[in-house]
Amino acid sequence: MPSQKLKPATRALCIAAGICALIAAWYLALSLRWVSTLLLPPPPDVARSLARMAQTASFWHDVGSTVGTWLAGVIVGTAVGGAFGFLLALNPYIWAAVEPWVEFLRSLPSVVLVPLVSVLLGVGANSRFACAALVVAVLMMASAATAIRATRSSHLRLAIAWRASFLRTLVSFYFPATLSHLAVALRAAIPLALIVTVAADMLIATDAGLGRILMDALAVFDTKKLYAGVIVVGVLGYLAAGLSAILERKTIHWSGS
Amino acid sequence: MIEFHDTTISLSHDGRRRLSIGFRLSKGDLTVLLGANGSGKTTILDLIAGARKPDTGTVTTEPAGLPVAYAVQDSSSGLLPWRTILSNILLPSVVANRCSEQNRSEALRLLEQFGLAERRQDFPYQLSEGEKQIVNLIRAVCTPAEILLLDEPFSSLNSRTRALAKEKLLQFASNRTTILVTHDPTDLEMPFNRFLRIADSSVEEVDSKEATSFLRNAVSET
Repeated sequence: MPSQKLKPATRALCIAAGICALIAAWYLALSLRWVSTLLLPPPPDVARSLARMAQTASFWHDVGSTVGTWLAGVIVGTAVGGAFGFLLALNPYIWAAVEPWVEFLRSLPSVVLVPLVSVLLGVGANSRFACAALVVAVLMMASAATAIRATRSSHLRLAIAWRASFLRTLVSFYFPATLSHLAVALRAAIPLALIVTVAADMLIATDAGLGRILMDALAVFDTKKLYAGVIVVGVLGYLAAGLSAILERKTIHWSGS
Repeated sequence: MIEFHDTTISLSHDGRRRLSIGFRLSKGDLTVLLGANGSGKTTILDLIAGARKPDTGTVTTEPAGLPVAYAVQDSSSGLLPWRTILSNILLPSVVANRCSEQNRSEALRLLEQFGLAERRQDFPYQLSEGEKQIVNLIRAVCTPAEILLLDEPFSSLNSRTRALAKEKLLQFASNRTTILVTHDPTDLEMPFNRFLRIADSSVEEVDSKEATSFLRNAVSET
């Protein structure tokens, strides 16, 4: 029963019901005075604050800045991390030397990298981009290396039997097997990169970005704007997760076999 | 030609179980390889394919450097999941830079004969186990190779498809050196001229009666 697949219309209805339930709980918490309106403003106030923000050019500049950095971090991190992981893991000796560092970086809470990178690269957009790219690259390196090691021995037996060259083995056997691992890792990397980008907006104090909106709102205790900003970040993350799932289904449909 | 000369290989990690191999097969030989589960049949095929190296001795295949056609035992893992059925079949020819229109039409003709022509653009995960085994077999016979290795190639097929598969295999095996691994006594109806059996950690040549009796006993024991 839990694995039952819902029709799109039913699913949309369930999502709408979930949103309604949350808003109802929000109203209930306010009407029963569980939370002060100062800390949790009513939904219409937050909606109005969001609408006001959306009418300003600076809001779209902030959204563009965060989304641009986030996407660039995901693309560069995937390309660089995937390529490095792929090449390094082909040699078991090199990978044995590199793996502890990759695992060390992967085990760190990703936000910890933000102050570290800002110390090395200074405050600004470059550091923000570097933070996003770094967390994605580390994840992709580990994933590509896992893919290389997990490439089925039966496939490699065939490559040897058919006298495939090293290059052909890479292109026809290792590379496609790695793609499916990377696509799965990308689903984890996309939200992680968003978290780090927004955290970098907040911690490095850049002059643009959604994190800056949140910090500015917090500084003047404008909770309506704060909640509006959180909703924008959440919606972006939700849309990105959905898009990456669609991308995965379309490009590597065979990986679920 | 395939020749094992004073070859030994370990069958266990601790090296306690070792297999000694020494035989020579010529072009045109249709050979059946028998043995209990875990006796080293697949290991012998892997040695011929080059996928494993012997601990001692040599394994020589001629013509050297040419691809070896190999239908692995687990047909699911033998097919590349990201390639279509037709693309899987043509891959050995592509790897050998010998993919031609003739190759493609041969593959399509065989798919047609097995009723899989409509499925040529499907992916392996869309096929049943039996269908995957047929695709593995078609790929093996379409491989531009003079050595043909078949590891239990009919085990998932129904009797009608199995008969057709054997018929097609015989057509393609006539000018190659072929080794077929089986546990099924009915497979011995094929016109094998060499019978190899793994017993007491070595490979020995037996006659067709001994081979039949070995498989019948193995079936009755199970």
